[in-house]
Amino acid sequence: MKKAMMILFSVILVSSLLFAGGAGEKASTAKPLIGVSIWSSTDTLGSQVKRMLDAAAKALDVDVMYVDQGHISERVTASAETLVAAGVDGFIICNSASAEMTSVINTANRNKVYTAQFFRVIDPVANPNEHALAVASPYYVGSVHEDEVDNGINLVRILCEKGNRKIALEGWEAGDATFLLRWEGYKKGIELWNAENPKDKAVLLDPQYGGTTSDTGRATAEAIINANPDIDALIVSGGGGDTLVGALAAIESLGLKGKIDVVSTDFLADLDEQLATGGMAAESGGHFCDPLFAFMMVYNAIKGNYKVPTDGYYEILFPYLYVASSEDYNAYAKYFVDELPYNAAELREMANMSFDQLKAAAERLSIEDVISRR
Amino acid sequence: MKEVVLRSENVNKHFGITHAVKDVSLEFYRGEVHGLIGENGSGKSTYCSMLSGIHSISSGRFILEGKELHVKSLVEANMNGISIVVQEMGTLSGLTVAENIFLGREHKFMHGFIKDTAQMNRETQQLLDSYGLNRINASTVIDNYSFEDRKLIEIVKATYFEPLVVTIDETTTALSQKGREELFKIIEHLKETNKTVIFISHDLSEVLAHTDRISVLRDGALVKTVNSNEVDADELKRLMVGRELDNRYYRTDYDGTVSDEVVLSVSNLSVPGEFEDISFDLHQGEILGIGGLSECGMHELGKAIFGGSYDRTGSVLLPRKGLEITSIPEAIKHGIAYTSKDRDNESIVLAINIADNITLPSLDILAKKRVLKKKELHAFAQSHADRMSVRMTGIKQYVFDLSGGNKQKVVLARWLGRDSDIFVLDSPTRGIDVKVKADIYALMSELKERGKSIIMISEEILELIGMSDRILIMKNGKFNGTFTRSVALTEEDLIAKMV
Amino acid sequence: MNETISRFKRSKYFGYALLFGLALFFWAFFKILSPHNFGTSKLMANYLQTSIQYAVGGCGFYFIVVMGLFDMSIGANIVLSSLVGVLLSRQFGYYGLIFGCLLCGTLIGSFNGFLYTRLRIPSMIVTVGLMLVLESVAAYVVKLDPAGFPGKLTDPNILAFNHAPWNYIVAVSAFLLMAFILRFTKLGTYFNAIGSNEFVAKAMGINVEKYKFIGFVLLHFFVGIMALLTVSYGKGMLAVTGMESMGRNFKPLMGTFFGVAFKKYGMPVSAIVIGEFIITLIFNGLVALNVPTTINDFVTGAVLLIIVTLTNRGARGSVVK
Repeated sequence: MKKAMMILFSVILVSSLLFAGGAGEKASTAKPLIGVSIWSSTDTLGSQVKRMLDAAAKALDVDVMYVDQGHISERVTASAETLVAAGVDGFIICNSASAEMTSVINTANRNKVYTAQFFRVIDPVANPNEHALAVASPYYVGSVHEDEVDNGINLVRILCEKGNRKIALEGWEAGDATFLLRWEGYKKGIELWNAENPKDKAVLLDPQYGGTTSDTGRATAEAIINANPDIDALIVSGGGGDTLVGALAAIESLGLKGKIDVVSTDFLADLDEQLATGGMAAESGGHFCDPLFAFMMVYNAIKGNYKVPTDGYYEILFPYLYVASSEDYNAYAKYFVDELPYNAAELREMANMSFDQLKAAAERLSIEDVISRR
Repeated sequence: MKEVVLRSENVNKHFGITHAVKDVSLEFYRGEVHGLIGENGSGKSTYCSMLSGIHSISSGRFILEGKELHVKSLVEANMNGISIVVQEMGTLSGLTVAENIFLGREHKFMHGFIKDTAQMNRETQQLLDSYGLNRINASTVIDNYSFEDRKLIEIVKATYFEPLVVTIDETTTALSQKGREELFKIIEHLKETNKTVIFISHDLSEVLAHTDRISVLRDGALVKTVNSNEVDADELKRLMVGRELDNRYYRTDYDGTVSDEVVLSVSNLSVPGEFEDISFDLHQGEILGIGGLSECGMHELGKAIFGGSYDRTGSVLLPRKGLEITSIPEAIKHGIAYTSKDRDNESIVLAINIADNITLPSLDILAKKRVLKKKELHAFAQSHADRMSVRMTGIKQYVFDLSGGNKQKVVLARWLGRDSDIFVLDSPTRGIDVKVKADIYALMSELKERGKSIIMISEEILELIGMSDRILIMKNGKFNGTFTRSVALTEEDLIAKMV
Repeated sequence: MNETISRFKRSKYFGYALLFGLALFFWAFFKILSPHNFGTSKLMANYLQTSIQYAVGGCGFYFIVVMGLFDMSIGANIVLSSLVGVLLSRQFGYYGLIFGCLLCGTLIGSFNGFLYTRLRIPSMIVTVGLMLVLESVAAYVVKLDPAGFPGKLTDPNILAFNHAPWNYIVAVSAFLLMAFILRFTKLGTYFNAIGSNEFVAKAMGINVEKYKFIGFVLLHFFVGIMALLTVSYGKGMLAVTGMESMGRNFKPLMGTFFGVAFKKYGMPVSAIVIGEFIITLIFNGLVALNVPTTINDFVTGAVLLIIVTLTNRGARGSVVK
C-alpha cells in the first residue's frame, strides 16, 4: 500500500511539473506572452473580462496567462512575481490597494517587463509615492480606469430621481480602492441632490461589506434590510457581480422585489429579467472592455510601438454604460453579451492604432459606437 | 473435592528486560473468592491483565474449564466468561451509562443497523436497580457521576453477564465505606451463584475477611497459596516480603550524620483527595525516604513540593533563602529538582534529543544575551551525560531510542547540570536494571556527601531501608510512621505502618 | 432537594435552559438597544433561515471533531460540490443539482478518510493539502460549465432550495438524520468512545480506523447537503484558489463548538442548531446597531470564546491541547 501511494504521488508530482512546464512553454515560441492578474477570472465580471481578452489574444496571436489573486494584498504582489517568473513579456493588473503598486512596479522594472493597470489608477494626491514611482518607471505603461466618483454620482442621481430617499449601501471589501472612490461618488451624489432639493433630502447609510461571493452577499443584504426595513433603495457597489446576485436573492426571498430599487456596477447574467421585473433599477457596467485597452497598451509597448515615457504614463478614462430598462438592456445584450463589441478584425486594427487613436476608441465605446462599426 | 474452573500453567510475562511474572501456576475453584496479594511490582495486576487479554502472555497458558484460553482483547475475554474491573478508570467519558455498560456488545439491541436505544436504556436501568444502584440513570452521560459511582458502574459492566471468573483489581481504594459494602454484596452474590472472584487488594484485613484462599506473589513469582481462615495478617506480611536485605547496591554507612540545618520545610501541606496536613523538614545532606502503598498520596506529595499542584494548600519553604515555593519555575530557579514516577510522560521529552533534554531547564543560564550557541549547549550536555555514563550513540541521539535506565540517567543529568541543591526523586529506579540502579544509588550517595539533600519517594521497601537516613511512611494521605536509619530496621516494620 | 437540583443540572433540560437562556439574553440585549429593527418574529424567522445551512455543516463536522480529528477542506468541498451540482443541473435539473452536491461531497469524504487512515498523518495536515487539491479541481470544473455565467444558478426553475419551505425541509432532514445516527446506531457511541479513549475503545473490540473513515464520509456527506443549501441560497458559487475556501470552514465550526460544549447534556444536535442561530442573531444585532462588519467579526469571535470557555474550561494545571 505504501509503495502504491508513493507511486501515485510521484505520478501527481511529475504531471504537475509537466503542466507547469507546459504553461511556461513561451521560451520555445516567438509569440508574446501577456499575463493577467485579476481578482477572479470566473466570477461574473471576471469571466466577461476573460472572454474579451481571450478573443484579443486569439486575434493577435498572443498567449495569455491568468492569475487569480482574490484582491488579497500579498497575493496581488505575488501575482506579479508569479507572472514574471513564468516568462511573460508584459502583464496587466487589477490591484486591490494602491500600496501594492510599489512592489508591482518594482517587479516590472527589475525584470524589464511591461505592466499596466486596468479598472484602477494611482491617485497622485492619496498615493504620491506610488504615483511618483509609476511616473518614473520605463515599464509602467499606464492605466485604464473609470471615473468612479462620477459613476457614484450618476447612480445616486438615478435613484433619487426614481423617488428613493433612504439608500443603503453594500460594499464588498473594506478599504478597496475602487469602492472608496465609488463611495465618495455616492456621498457627493447625495450632497448634490440635497443641495438642489433642500426640502426633499435623501440619506445614504454607512456601508456593510458583503464579500465577493453570492451567499455572503445575500447574508449581508438580508442583515441590512432586516436592520433597516424602511430603506427604499440599495446600492450594491460591486465585487465582481456575485455579491449583487446574492443581494438580489435576499430581496426576493424577503418578498421585497420591486419595492427596493437596486443599482450596481457589474452586469448580471439575468439583468434583462431583473430590469423587467423590477429587481434592478439601473446598472452601470459594460466596462469589461477596460482591460482590453490595457492589454493593447502593453502589447504595443512589447512590440515597441509605444515608447513608455519616464516622466508620465498613458491614461485612458473609460466610460461606463448605463442600463436602466429592458430596452436599454436588449441593445446592450446584442452587442456586448451575445457578441463581443470588437470582432477579430477590429481587434487587429486596434492593435495598430496610435495611443491617441486607442484612447479615442475607448472613450467613444458605446452601443451606438458598436452599431456604427457593424 | 472442589472443582477447578481456571488454572494457569507456568505463565510468564516479560516487559523488555523486566521479568514481571515468573512461571506462575495457580488454581482457582468454582465459587470461591480467591485473594491475590503482594508488594507493588509483585506481578498481580500483570497476571490478571494477561488473563483478561489486556496484555499478551510471553509463555505458559491459562486453562478455563478444561480448555486453553486464547484471548487477545477484553471483549474476547468477556465472550469467554472472563472479566476484570481495572485499577484505573475503565469507563469512557462522553458516553451514557448504558453505552458504557454495553460498549462492544450492542449487537443485542441491534435491528439491522438500527440500535434500540430505549431498550438498551431500559435493560441497563433494570440492571442498575438489581444491583441496588437505582440512583444512577442509565441514559445520563457518565461524566455527571462521581469517580465512585463510575467504579460501581464498571463493576456492573464486568459482572452483569455472569462471567465465570471476575477479577477485581485494587478497586476498594476508590470506594467509600458504603461503596465497599455494595461491592462485597456483589462479590457474595457471585460466590453464591458459583462464580469465581479473584480479589486483589492491599488491605489485608479486607482480604482475610472476604476470601476463601489467598495466593501471595513476590517479585513476579508465586510464594504460597493459603486458606484464609488459617493465617493472619502478620503471616501474610512475612510471606509478602520474606527476603534478605541485599546490600549490594545500597549505602553501607550507619553513622547517621545529618546536619541540623533545615533546607526545606513543608508545613500543613494538603491536596484535596490526595493527602492531608503533611509537615516535615528536610536537612542538609539528608536522604529522606517517603514510602507507602501506591495510592497513599506520596507521589502527589512529591509533585506538590515541586510546585506542580494547583490546588495545594499549606506551604513549602526554603528557610535558608527565606522563600516560599509556589510554582515550578520558582522551584527550579531556587535549586529544587524533580523526577517523576511517570518518566516517559512527565520527566523526559521523548521527541527531542539527549542534548535538548539535558539543557532544557538550564537554557536561561546558558543563553547569553538571548542567543543560544549550539556548540556550548552540546558541550554542556555532553559533560553531564558523561558524568552519568549515559549509554548513547551521541548527544544528538533521540531519547525515545534509549532504555529506561538511560532515560533516567538523562533526567538526572539535567538536574546535575542545573546544580540543584534539593532533589525530589519519585521512584528513581522504577523499571531499571540492576546495573543502572547501582549507578543511581552511587550518585545519591555522592550528592549526599556534597551536601545536597534528597527526598526519595519509593514503593520499594528495600530501597527505602537501604538508602534513607530517615523514612516517613504514608497511609491514606497522612504520615503514619517515622523510622531512622538503622541496621535493625526490617521490611516488616515498614509494612506494618503502610497497610 | 440537593439531589433533585443536582440531577436537574446534569439533565438535558438544563442544557436546553442554558441555550435558550443565552439566545434570550442576546435577543433582549439587542432588542433593548435597537427595538424597531431587530428581533421581531418575522426577522427571527429570517435569522433562522440564514443560520440553518451552517448548522448542517456544523452537524457534519461534529462527527470527526468528537473523535479529536479536524478537516480543513470542508470549505473547498462546499465550493467543489456546489459547482459539480450546478454543472450537472444544466442537463439533469434538480436531480443533477441534488445528486451532484451529495455524491461529490460523499466521494470527497471517502477520499479524505482513505488518505487519513492510510497515511496516518495528523488530520489537520492531510486536509490542508486536500483543500488545495479540491480548490484546483473546482477551478477546473467551473471552466467545464458551458453557461454564459459559469457556476450560477440562473434558471429560476431550479431555486426551490433558495427559500422556505424546501430549504427548511432539507436542513431539518439533515438534523433528524444526525440525531438518528447518534442515538439509534452504534456510530454515535463509537465516535464518542474513540474520542474519549482510543486505547480503551480498541480494547473493547472497536475497529477504530474503520469508524474514523466513516466519520469523514459522514462529515462530507453533510457538507454536500450544506453545499446544496449554500449554492441555492446564493444562486451560485464562486471558485476560489489560494486557500480562500478556508474562510467557509469557520461558520459551521462555530456550531460544532456548541455541539461539543453541550455534549455532556446529551443534546449536541440541538446545541449546534441553536448555537448557529445565536451567532446569526449576534451578527444581525450588530448590523442593526450599525456596527461595521470588521467589528462584527471581532464580537462574534469573542462571544464564541466566552461561551466555550464557560462550558468547557479545563481544571487549572490540566493538559489542554
